[in-house]
Amino acid sequence: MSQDKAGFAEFFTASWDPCLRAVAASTGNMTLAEDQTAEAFARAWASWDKVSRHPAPRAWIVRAALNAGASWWHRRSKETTLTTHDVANTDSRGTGLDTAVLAALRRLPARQREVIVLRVFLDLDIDTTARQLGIAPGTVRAHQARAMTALRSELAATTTEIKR
Amino acid sequence: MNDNDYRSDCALTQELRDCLYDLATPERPPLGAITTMGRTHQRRRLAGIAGGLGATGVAAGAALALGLTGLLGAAPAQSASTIRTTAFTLTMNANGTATLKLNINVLLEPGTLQTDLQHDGIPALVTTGSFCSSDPSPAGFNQVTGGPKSPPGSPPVFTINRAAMPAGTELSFGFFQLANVGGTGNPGEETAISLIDANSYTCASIPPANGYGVMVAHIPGGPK
Repeated sequence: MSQDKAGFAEFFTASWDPCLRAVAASTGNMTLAEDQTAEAFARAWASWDKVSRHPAPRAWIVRAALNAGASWWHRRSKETTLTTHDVANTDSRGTGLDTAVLAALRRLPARQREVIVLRVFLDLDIDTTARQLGIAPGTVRAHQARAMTALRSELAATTTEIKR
Repeated sequence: MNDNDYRSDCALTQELRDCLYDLATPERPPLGAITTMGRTHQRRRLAGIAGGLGATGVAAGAALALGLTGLLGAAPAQSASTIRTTAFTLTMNANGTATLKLNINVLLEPGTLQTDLQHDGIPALVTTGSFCSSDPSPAGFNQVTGGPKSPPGSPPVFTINRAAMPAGTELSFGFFQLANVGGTGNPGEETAISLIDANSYTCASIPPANGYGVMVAHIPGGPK
């Protein structure tokens, strides 16, 4: 690999799995997540001089993958609401994607879900998450608090339903 | 709330992480497959830059049209390529410039626009509810963007000359929903554009005004 791509192979080897997991958890479709993550890594390779200097390259990958999924989905569905990254949940059986907590995560509004993916799955701090999303740190805190409240509420409802 | 349905933030965070680690994932693809895809992206980007410089305008226009054919369906070589979503239309012109038309009253997904711009060789940072800028603003903004050409109240149309973008810069787009747009007393949208240093910028949630290195368009009304 050429000098200007130095470090990409190590990054790819170490980051493929965590990035794929985060994308799959967010979309609910492992096959699509695999395609989107591969596409994001390909874009990272093409722009490695920039991505390698990014403060959170894994976050760059996950956001690029989710955005690629959004573009893919929007172009085909021509939906009028462009606020979610939802894709058909047709490939979750047997992968662990159909747990109650991940299903609840996918029902969150897109921004709250992005915050959870970056903060919880990629372990980014508040400031890095804010920079990554182009929003204020206080807005990140607010989205995270709302997301956790919504998840608790959803899971409590699920638990109650199961008990009945 | 009882003990069974209560989950603390820590417990919930751990539960989310546990679910993530429990996922059954397919094998990592070979590095060669990724770099092959990456080379396609690189070629597409270089073709776009070449088109912008006008050095191989016709050939690059054809390459760009071919590159987007998979997404947009068959298009005549040498014609402009267009990406249409409900929120915006992005047209790559034969002379290497891009035309961005924003649709009124449609909520914009910033990631989609950012990805599509980057896909077409225009490094961009697109945000909603905030605007990112560099201080000082990189020189050359007036050579990079033109417009909005449309009359007030119409969808704003911007022309972007990616070949004029200095190395290391990105175009920053900020979209705001305002209760009082442009001092009219009516709700509406503001779109702000600036050229930023990709390695040095700050973001603020205050809508900027027109000024040196910043272009602003106001549209009455809002997303339905």
